[in-house]
Amino acid sequence: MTTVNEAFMLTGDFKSTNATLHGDSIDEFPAKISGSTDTVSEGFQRESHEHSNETGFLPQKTTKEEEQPDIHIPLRIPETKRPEHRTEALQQWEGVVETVGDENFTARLRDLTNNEHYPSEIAELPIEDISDDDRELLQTGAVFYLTVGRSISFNGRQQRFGRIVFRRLPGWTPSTFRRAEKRAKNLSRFLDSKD
Amino acid sequence: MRIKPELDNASIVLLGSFNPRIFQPAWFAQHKMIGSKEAEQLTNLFQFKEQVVAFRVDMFELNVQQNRFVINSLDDHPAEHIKDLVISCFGKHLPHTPVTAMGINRNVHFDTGDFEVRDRVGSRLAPKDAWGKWGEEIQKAYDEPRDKRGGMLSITMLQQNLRLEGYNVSVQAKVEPSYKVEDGRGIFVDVNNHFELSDDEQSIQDASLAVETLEANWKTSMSRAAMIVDQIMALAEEQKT
Repeated sequence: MTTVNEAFMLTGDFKSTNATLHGDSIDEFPAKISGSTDTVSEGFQRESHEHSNETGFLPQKTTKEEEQPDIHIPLRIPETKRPEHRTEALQQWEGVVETVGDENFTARLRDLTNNEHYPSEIAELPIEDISDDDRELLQTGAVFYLTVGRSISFNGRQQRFGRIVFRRLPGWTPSTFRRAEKRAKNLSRFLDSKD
Repeated sequence: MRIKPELDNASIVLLGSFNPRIFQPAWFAQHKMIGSKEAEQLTNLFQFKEQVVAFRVDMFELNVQQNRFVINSLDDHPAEHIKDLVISCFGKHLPHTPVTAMGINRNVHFDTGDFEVRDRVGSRLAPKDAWGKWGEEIQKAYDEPRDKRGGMLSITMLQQNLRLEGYNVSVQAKVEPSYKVEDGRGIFVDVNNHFELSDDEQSIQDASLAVETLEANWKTSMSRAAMIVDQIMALAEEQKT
């Protein structure tokens, strides 16, 4: 198991080292990866997947047999040039759709930013604020996130934005039923033991 | 958390046996796990033979290799989106995929407001005097400019005494200086909730235990991570005074 110690350096050449390791350019590919497959920690500082993965999870359990031979495959997604801005959520609500009209819908909103301080509230929101992809998800009971944020461009210009994104809830899976059954059995055992 | 994070993301990592060629944006759109327009307009799909597929949409970044499935939440989108996707993907559409281990991870970058504060948190977590003579040498560099200083670069704590029904769980928390926050003021905390998935009741390993485990442990894992991060934030506040 190899380690990429230079990726841990903070000062001086740190950023440039990172850039070398994980820059936006596709030229880096294919990257060489090696080491144990027993890591489930992404443990990354976003661009530092490699060093954290290679540091690995529970390295003391790694044996030679578990190590894979070096293979040449790309590890990072070749990034298209990301927009030169960053976004920051200022306020976020979780909403549950209550009614759907022709142009607007109403929803019960729970403030996720100030969870403890404010009770849920009802709001009316325009349907046109929902992306085309998400409109098919608009129905009573649907869950969405409403974010009010700030976008800061590379030159420091700021812009407020509002965004509605619906959750694509998986619904009931066999695992959900299995878990419910297990809990029911445990509860039943507990209640029996009380008799 | 007592300090508003600069970045707060989550990831889910599955280990097992995957066929990366399945995980195309169009496939996700077909099963309504992402929007069809988003899938059509996606320009960063990367595929390398049958070994890897990777792409990024607004809310997440996906990277699937033959032994590893990794999904990271992105920017300020709630992490619940990636949980929903993994449950849909392996609970409904690919339930027979062998999954042997899972990581539910949360990583946070926060600003301590001052390089010195960040540095003192490092010293608190890894005191230099424990390193004897070498620690003294490192300490001497504190009279020099910042970029000549040493100090704590990474520390990881492990908890293994969690007892949950059906799987072995361990938690790792890693603290490092953040290089997402300007001027060396930031701290990065990564918490990995690791689940070894072996189901005695099932002779065939599939994705059901992973899905069940994710459904049952998502909230706890996120809360545990928040608790750990908050403790590091508390250290930072303590060092300010």
